[in-house]
Amino acid sequence: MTRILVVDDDPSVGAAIQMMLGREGCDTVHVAGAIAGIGALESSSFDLAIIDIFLPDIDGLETIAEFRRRVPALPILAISGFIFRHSMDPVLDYLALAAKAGAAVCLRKPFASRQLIAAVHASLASLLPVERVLEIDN
Amino acid sequence: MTIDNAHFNVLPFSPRFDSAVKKLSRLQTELMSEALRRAVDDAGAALKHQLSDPLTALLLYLDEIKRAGEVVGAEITPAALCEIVDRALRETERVCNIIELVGGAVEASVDAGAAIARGRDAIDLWAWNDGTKTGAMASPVLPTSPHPLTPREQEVLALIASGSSNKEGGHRLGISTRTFEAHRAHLMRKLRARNAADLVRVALGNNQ
Repeated sequence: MTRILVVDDDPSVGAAIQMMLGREGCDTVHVAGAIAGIGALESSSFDLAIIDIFLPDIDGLETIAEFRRRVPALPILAISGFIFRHSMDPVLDYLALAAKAGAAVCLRKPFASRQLIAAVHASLASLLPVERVLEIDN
Repeated sequence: MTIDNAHFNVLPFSPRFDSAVKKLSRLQTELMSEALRRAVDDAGAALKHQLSDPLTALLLYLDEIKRAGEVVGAEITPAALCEIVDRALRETERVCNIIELVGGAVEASVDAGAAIARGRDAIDLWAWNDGTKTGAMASPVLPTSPHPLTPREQEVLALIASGSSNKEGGHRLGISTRTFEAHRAHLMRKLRARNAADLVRVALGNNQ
């Protein structure tokens, strides 16, 4: 069974992802912050981590980098709803930054089930080189 | 950036603008538009971020409900289905509450004319973010107004063109903010302007 760690401070998003992936046959653990996420990572093993970029305790980008340091083989799916549409400044493109920090796939909120499933499959595909970024458009 | 009193006092409050003030006004308007556009961009991004969580949860729950109705052997009990529907309703309420908060942030206007003009302003500003207009606002074609402006309206137009807020403009003319807003609304109707930028264009265009 695929084990997935979801790090998102929004309890509804966490619960909905948990319900949806549970139905897909995944064992999903939801935590609300980066520190709890790192704790879960230390006490258990996972096949995939889904991390929201805006977390209350530690910046999501730092969290992604920390996950990468601790478990380099663990694929990471970054999710975020924040985007500056007209910004030309690459510093403000959070999903691109997440990819740089080591996320294998980036998914923009809001997303539907099929988009999440596609993103999870893409993240899990071991054929996908870590450096390659696949952005799933809504 | 504001125009100081020394500059402002030379304004004759007539359709004829002093050219230096005109240039300054134009510069100020451009700077304000840019700052305003940036602020609206940021506000839009923050709002989208706030809405993205309940909308994501709602989409996932609705997919679950759809699947329960479509997939043979989905094996979902009526109680479990009710629970998902409840959750979806809660997320919908969250979205509604956010929209309510956004609406509540807009101060009420004095009369229907002013309210419509302000609403139009806000909608046009938000429209900058919808992807149909990129970067700068499209220049509207303004028909020539058949109604001449009253001296008071000319004063109000001059103040708007120089970048005064409703509060500042009211203060300068010795009238209330709401009265200034009402004059502004009448001006917009008369000049068929959709927003403050249109008014500024009219003010500058009439005097060049």
